[in-house]
Amino acid sequence: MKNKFEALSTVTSLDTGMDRKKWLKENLIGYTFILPWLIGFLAFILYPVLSSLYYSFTKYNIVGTPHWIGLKNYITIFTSDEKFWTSLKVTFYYVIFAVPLRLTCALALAMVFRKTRPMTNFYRAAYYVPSILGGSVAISVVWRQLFASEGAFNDILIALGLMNERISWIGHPDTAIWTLIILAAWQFGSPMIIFLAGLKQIPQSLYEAAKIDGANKWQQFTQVTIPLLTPVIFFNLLMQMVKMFMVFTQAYVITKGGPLNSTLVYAMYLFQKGIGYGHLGYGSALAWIILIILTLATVIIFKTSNKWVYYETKGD
Amino acid sequence: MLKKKTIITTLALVLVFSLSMTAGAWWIFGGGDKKEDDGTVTIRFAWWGSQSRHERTLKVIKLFEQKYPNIKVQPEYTGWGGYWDKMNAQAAGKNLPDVIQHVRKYISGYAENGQLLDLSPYIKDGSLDTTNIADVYLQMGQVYGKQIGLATGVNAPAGYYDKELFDKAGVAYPSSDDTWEDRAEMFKKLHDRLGIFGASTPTAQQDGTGFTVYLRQHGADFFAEDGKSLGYDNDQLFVDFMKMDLDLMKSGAVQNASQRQESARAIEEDLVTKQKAATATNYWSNQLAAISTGAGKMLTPFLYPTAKDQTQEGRFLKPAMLLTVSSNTEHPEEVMKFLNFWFHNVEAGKILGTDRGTPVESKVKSAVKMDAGKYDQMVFGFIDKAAANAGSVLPPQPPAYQEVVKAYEEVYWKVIYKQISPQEGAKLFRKEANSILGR
Repeated sequence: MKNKFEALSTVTSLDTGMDRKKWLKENLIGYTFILPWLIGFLAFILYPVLSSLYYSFTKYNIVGTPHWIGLKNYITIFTSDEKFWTSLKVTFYYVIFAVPLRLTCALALAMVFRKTRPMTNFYRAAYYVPSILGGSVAISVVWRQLFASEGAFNDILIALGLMNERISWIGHPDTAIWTLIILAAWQFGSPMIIFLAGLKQIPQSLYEAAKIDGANKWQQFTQVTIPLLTPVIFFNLLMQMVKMFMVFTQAYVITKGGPLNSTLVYAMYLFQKGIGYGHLGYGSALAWIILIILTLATVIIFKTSNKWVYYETKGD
Repeated sequence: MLKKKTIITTLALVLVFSLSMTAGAWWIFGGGDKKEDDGTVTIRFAWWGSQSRHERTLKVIKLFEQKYPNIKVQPEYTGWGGYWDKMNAQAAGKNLPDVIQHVRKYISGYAENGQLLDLSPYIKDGSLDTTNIADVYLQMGQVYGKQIGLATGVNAPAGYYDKELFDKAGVAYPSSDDTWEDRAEMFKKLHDRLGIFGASTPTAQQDGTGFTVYLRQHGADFFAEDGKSLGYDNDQLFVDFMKMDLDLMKSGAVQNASQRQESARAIEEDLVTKQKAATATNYWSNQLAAISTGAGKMLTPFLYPTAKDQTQEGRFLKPAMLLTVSSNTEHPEEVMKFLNFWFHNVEAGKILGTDRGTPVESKVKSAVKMDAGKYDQMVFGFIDKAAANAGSVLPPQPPAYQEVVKAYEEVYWKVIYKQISPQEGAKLFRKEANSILGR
């Protein structure tokens, strides 16, 4: 299967009964190689996704059997579910602050590590670690301790003289969400690695030209680096946004959605409804709504991309 | 030629690999319930609990496996937090463990949907032995006229206090005749004289136990008998109850809202175990060993208070928990052997002690009592006192129990964070609860 068109033509020839053997030989091997992935995809992604679509139109108690009720779940969600709106608000707040913060950290560190100095590789790896650990329960437990009133964060602020009284960061409805946002920002490792790759792609000659034109470091950054990096920024933005919309573990372990539902992120609410109370049908409907919202957000970002994303090869 | 051979070999390898993966997945989703070649049967047993319970239970499992070498018991244990999420998910996947530690308040939802095995036929044909278990205990495991589970033991809501701290403060120990007002005074005194909390919370708040006792003392209940609405009409009860807490919060004798929010969720880390509070109020009698272990010294259990104008006794005894069997079990015979061992074996009973409530099997009970360590002795004494001060039996909770209690909890948070007044809270809770129960 060299390309789409060739594959198409072999299928056509198969339809006409020609060269069946050749088709088999060429494609079977390919399919066999992706078989493990294919089985995984069908059984663990496609099947659950499609069943959840069906369940979203049913009243389905988790320990019972589903009954078809049409659009009722969706109607209830939009007309009389206050918590749905709360969780949506919380999630958007989280995404709007956490994504730019994480990307900024990632880009800043990538700039620092761009030039190879002694130990750079060690630091790159070290800064990548949170990205692997960040979603884990263990880190969430550490975070809970860090931001508790008796926690290390307060100790530091008091030692620095910035504060004289301990604040319960997790216990206060205004600050609790920020402990989660900071945790998200801290996991900047994987976008950082992608930024690093993007930075290395920028030709040195452009910087030299800018220098000759008298551009200082900051001007070089804003006039050369940023524009040429926009495709990578675009990619990172999309990936991180999708990830953040689905945040769950951190909210579940650190705050349990509290205080006063100020950290009730969407996935957490969905879980509470679907698994906690056992309304699986209702939970499925919630899941499909966030899927649609996420798709819309992605489409909007895509649509605006031709306004701000520059491809070097454009016009070639 | 060689090339073709390579391709065929690769193909064969890949096929075998992916087939084995599928088979693996098959096995995972079929559950661990399979008879192995040597005739060994594996049954799964899930429970929640503290570290001391895990250790005791694992010991009993080992003992059982020694006696029945052809039955393996696969333990699946967690803390209370997350346990029901896990069980619910497994119920949806028709993959519940064979033996499930259950609790009276959630059982009706499971029984209603046929997730749990009716044990009556097994009792009738003698494969499940209930001799020496009094009817009153058997009734604790009955729902909808079926024997859905067996009560592991009897339990009462309890607080725990640190004697040394009371002595230091010169405050009288809590008594079973104390009223809610006496207790509030006690917390304030402890706070004033020791500079620590009287308790984290004045009573068990988030799960509604404190409020249930308070309502019963005023001739009402949390749920109406038919489970379709709340069991009290006078919202003033809610208001008075919340005001009591707000007053104490103001005095600093109990934790404020954000301190409660970030409190540890494990009993071993309760403030009373670190001498940061003189008492803990929101536990059960079977948790004595767990909380004392956490404290590193014996803490003493005390009863919930009475109401000064009470119309009836509101405190109660309940089955601590139930052992139930999944209706999907493939090995009912082995499961019954396990249950028989669990309830009737004296050795096992001694290991388990009173951790799941005081035993219901009379022979085991007297053996445990005779042989009791200091913790168990204390629990036996406390349960006797609680039985002498217990009102009527709690009615079975409606299937939507969990959700109503969550609604109560959310209103409670709003009130103690002072987002709404107790009056508004009372109205809000009534509205939410009725809309859940009326569905």
